[in-house]
Amino acid sequence: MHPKRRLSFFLISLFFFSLFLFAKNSMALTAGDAAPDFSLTDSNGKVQTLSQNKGKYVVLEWFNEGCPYVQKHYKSGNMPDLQKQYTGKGVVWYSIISSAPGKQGNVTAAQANARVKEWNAAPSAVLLDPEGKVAKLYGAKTTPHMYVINPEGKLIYTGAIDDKATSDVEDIKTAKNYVKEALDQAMAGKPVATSATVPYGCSVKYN
Amino acid sequence: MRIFISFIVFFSLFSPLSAGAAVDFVKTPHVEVRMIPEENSVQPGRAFGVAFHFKIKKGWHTYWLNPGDSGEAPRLKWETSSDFTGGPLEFPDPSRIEIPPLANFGYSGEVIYLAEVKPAADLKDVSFALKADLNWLVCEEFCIPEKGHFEISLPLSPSPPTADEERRLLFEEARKKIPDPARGSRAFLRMEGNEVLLEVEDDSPLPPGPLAGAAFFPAAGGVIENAAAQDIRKTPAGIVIRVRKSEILRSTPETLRGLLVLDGAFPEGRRAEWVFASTKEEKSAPFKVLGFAFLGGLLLNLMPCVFPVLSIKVLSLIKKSGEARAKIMKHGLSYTLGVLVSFWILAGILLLLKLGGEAVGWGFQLQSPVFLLVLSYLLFFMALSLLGLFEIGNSVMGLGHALAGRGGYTGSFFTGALATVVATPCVAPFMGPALALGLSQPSAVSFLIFSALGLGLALPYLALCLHPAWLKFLPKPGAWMETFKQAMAFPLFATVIWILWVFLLQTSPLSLTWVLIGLLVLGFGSWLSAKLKIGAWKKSAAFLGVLLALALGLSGLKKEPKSAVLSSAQAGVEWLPYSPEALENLRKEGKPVFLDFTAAWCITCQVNERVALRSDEVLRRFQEKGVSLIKADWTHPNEAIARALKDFGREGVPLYILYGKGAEAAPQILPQILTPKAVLEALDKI
Repeated sequence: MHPKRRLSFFLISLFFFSLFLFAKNSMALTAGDAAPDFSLTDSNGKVQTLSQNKGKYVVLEWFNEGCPYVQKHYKSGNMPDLQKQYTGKGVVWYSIISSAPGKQGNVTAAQANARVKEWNAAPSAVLLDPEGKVAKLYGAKTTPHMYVINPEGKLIYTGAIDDKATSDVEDIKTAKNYVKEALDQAMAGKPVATSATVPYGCSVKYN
Repeated sequence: MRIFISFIVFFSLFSPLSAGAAVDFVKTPHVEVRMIPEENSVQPGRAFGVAFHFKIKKGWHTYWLNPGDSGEAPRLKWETSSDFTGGPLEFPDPSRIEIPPLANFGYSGEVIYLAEVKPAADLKDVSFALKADLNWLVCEEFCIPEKGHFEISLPLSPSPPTADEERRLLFEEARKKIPDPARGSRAFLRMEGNEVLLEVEDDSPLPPGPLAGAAFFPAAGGVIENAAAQDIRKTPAGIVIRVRKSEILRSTPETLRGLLVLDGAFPEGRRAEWVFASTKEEKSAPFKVLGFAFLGGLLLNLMPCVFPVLSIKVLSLIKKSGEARAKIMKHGLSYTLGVLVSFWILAGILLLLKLGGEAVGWGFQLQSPVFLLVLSYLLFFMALSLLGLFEIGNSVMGLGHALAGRGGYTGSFFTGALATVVATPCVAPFMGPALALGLSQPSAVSFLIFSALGLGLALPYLALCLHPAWLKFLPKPGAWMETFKQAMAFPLFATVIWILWVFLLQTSPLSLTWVLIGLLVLGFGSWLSAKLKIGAWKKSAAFLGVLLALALGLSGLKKEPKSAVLSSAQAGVEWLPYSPEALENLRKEGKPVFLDFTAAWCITCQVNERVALRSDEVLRRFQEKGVSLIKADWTHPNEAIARALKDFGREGVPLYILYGKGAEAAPQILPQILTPKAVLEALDKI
C-alpha cells in the first residue's frame, strides 16, 4: 500500500472507531428513538400492532387495576378524561396490562372489560401482555408508565403521568400533566418541552 | 417495648390534658407506627427530635427518600401552629430491594424516621400539642397507601427536660443511622459510554479492590439505572463507583447527590455517607494530565531506545541544513504527524482492547514474540545500513525500514512512527499515571492525552526544523558524518541485543538460536545485495534474505513460552509468584508483604531490581522484618496482575507495594524509581 493511502486508511479507521465508541452510548429507549413495533391481543380478542397506527399519535399507558397509583388516576376521573379527550382528537390510546399470571393486576379479557366499564375508562383498546414482552421492550417500570409516540413513529415522551409522584388524589388538581402537555405541544407543531421524566407508581408486576 | 409503656404511663400521670387526645400509635394490617418525642417536657425555644418508629410486617417494606423504580417515600405534614415549626422527615440509610428488572430503596423489619421540632420561644400555655399527618406506602408484591394522624401533648417546663435513658438511647441509635446531610464526600462525576462514573474522595485505610457490601443510592431518579449492578472499588485515590446511566438521561448531569453505604468494610460495621458529585470540580485535572503527558513525551527523546532512531533523523537533517527553510519545516511537520498518527493508532488499539476486556498495559506490544522478532530484524537491518552496507532511501525492501528510510516527507513521517514504536518500552516513570488516567478517561480525552505524549516526543526535532538556526549548535557537515553514522549503528545493535533478551525470556534458547540464524541470513543477504552490481539481482538477494530470515525466526517460535520469573536467585531470598490468593493468605497470617510488579521488557524495573531490591542491606532488612516477597511478573499478559495494577490506579509496571503487619495494614506505594533508601525508609514504617 502506498504510504499516503496507508495514512488515510489509518485515519478512516480511527474515524469509524470513534463512531463506534459514540454509538455505544445510546442503547436505551428514550424520547427521540423510533418506537419499536409490537403485536398484542386486546381484551376483545383483536390483534393490535403499533405499526397499524402509522400517521397517528399513540399513547401507551401501563395499567394495573390493583395499583393505588393507577386507582388514583382512574377513580378521580383523571385518566378516563384524558382518554376521552385525546381519542376524540384521533389519538390511539392503549392501556397495557403486563402483570404476570398469579401477580397483582393479571386479569382475563372479561375482567379487563368489566373494569373499563366500571371506571368509565375510554382507551382505544386494553392490550394483554402477561409475558411482559412489550413492557420489557419499552423498559416499562411502573404503573402508570406513559409513552407518547408521534405520527412518524418516534417516541416524544416517556415517563410519569404528572409531576406529583404521590398516591394522593388531591394532588391531581395542582399537578402538571406531562402527557397532556406533550400531546398538546406536538399537535400544535411545537417541540415537546419535557420529553423524559422518572415514572412513578407501583412496579410493573414482571414474572 | 418497655419504653413505650413507661412513656404512656408518663403521660397518664403528668399530662392529664393529653390523656384523651394522645394518638401516638397507629396500627394497620401491615405496619405499626409510633410517634415518640425525644423529651419528657418542652422548654420554649429548645429543639427536640420526634421519631416515627415503624414495625413492618415480614415481607413488606417502606421507602427511602428516593424510592427507586417504584414506590413512594413517606410524607409528613405537621399541623400548622404558632407554637412550633416542624422539620421534614429524615431518613436512615436504606437497603436495596431487588424486584428484577427493577430495584427499590427502602426498609424492612423496623425503621425509625426522625423529624425535628422547634418550639417557639414565647410559649405560654401549660402544655404543648404536636399534631401531624403521616402518609406512607407499604409494599410487598403490591402496594398499599396508608396514613395516620398523630397527636401528642407535652408539658411545658422552663428548665431543660430530664433525661430518659431508654429514650435517649433510642434517639442516639436512630441518629447514628441517619447520615448527616451537611457533611459528606465530594466526588467527580463523568460519563464513560453508557456508564456514570463517580470518583469519590476517600482517605480511609481500606485496601484497594472491589468493596463487598457497598451500595450507592442516588437521592433522585433519572441519573443512574437503579437496578443495574454497581461496581464500587477502592483505589489509592478514593472510591470509584461505576454504574449504568439511566435510560432517560440525555446529557451529563452537572451534579449528583447520593448515599454511599459501605457494609462490612469497617470494624464498626455499616458506614453511610453522602456523596456530592459534580462534573465541574476536576475540569483542570485533564489539563494537568495533558501537561504530564507532554513532559513524558519530551523525556522519551532521551531514552536509549528512541535516541538511535532520532539520531538517524538528525543526521539527515544535518544533510538538509543547506536546503530551503520551507522544505525543512515540512520535514519537521511530517515527522510530527508520523508520531501523532502512531500515538492515535496506539490509543485506538488500546481502547479497543480495553473495550474487549483484555488485560493490557503499556509495553503491551513487547509481550508478543512475533513483534519482538520483527522489531529486532528491523533494527538490525537499519544498523547494517548505518554501517554503510546500504544507502538508506535506495531500497524498497524491509517493512518499516523502507518507509522510515524514505528520503521524502513520507520518510520523515515513518521515522516519527518508528520513534513511537521503539519508545514504548521506555515508560518514563511519571508517564505511568498519565497513561492510566488516559485510559480511564472518556475516549476523546484519551486521544488528547496520547496526542500530548506524541507532541512531546516530536517537539525537539520539530523545533530544530522550525528554527534551523538552532542547527548551528550542531556540528557542521563533513567527513566526520560518515564515521558518526557508522558509530550510530552500535546503539542499534545494543538495542537488538536487549530485544532478543526479552525475546529469550518469552520463548526458549532454541527459538533464539533460530532467530540468530535468521539475523545471519539477513546480514549475508544484505552484504550480497551490496556486492552484486545488477539492480534486479541486488533486490532479489536482499528480498530473499529478509524472507528467509523471517521464516527462520518464525519457525523457531515455540508455542510454549517459558515462564519468565526473572533470575533474581540470591542466597536465602525467595520470591513467590503473584496470585491474589497467595497475597491474601500471607496477609491473613499477619505477615508483611512486599509486592514487585515487574516485566522482563521493563528497563526501569530491571534497574530498580539491581539498584534497590538486590542490595545487600535491603535484603537483610527484608529478612529481619520477616517480609514475604512476591513477584508479579507481567512479561506475559496476565489478567490477575493487570487487575491488581488497575486496583492501584496503574496501567503498567513498575509498581512496588509494601504491606505492613496485620491484615488491616494499609499498603505503602513506593516510588517508581526505587532507591535502597526509599525501600529502607518504607520498611522502617512497618
